[in-house]
Amino acid sequence: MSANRASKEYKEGVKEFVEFVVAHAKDSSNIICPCLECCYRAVSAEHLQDHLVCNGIDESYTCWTMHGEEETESAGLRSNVRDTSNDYEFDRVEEFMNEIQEDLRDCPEMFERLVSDSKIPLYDGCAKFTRLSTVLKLYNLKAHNGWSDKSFTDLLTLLKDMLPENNVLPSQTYEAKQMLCSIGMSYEKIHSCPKDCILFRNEYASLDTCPKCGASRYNKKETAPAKVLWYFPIIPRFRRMYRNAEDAKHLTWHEYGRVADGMLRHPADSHQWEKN
Amino acid sequence: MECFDILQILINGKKIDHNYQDFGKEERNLRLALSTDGINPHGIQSSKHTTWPVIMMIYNLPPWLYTKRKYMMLTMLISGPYEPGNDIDIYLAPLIEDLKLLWETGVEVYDGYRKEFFNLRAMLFGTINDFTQQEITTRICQG
Repeated sequence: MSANRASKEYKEGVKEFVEFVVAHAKDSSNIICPCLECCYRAVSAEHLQDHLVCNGIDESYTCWTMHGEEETESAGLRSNVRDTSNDYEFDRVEEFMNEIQEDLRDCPEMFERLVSDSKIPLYDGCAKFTRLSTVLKLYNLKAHNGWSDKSFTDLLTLLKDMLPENNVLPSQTYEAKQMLCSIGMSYEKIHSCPKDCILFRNEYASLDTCPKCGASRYNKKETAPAKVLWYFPIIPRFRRMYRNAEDAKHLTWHEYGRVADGMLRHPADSHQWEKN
Repeated sequence: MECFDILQILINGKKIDHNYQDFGKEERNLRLALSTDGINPHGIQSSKHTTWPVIMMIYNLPPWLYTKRKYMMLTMLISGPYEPGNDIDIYLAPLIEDLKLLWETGVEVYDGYRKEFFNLRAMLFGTINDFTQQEITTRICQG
């Protein structure tokens, strides 16, 4: 096929191809032509040979699927790959379900709701998306692109309208957030003295003014705190990292995956880390 | 500059695993670095409002991962309008409590790769900051 068009080899190849095509074609006056001029338009069998010799054949057309040849392994492989990637996506949901099961031990209702969300198809007969995976994907987009809550509500309403009638897509940002809140990690908001003296926690938790400088905990209106510290507890996050098999493996990289040839290229190569 | 800081700390530091051999024996124990600096959440350069995020990095991870956003953990957000300066230790107290717990006793953690429970400990390995913040943060490190 890639031989010179003037060569004998090419002519024979064309002849063979035309014979194959004519033998398999249903209508010999209406054959799809893979020459570079026609680009898969229909021509008659007599013209096919001329076209292929004069114009040359599309060299990527190695498997003659349009002329009766069965799809060979390469095409089959491609569809296999697609299948596994689909499975993988579903696996991911299952994977993190395992990870958070432990965290939600105190609240089995929340976990059950999550499990049921991860099993309900988006609408009857939908094999690709479940309620949970849809909301997760959409919410990821929202977070990535900084969409406002209002715009997201509008989008959800529109999508719900577009989908078949018996779909289970939430129609508001609030509803979507409620679904996902059990997956998220917790955080604490701790009020602090506006002049950085103390945090209003432990023994100071109930006070309204700072015991050191006397500054008020709140702004003029007694509802808004003057200064807030957000703390995202680290221990639950380490727990979750270790529960994920892949992350747990990465976390021992410094021991098993590192190239130790005496060059300084990672803190683990330093004296401070060195093992004795 | 940040790289230099880290190296300074490493060169001057003691051999951790030699002095605390129990810690070194368990390769799953975490070595963490803390980094903080002021940012302006509203994106206006001239504004005086600053917020202080405190970010934690895990040096157990391969270098092509620990610098990725997914693995750098935002552990704290100290809201403005002024920078905490030397009083940053007040704000870091909840974090330090957790770190102390992780260093002294450790916590029971399930390892999904080896499918077993183990006692996870962690240590603060270094800090990453510019020179104006170095004095402030190193005070915490030693404390």
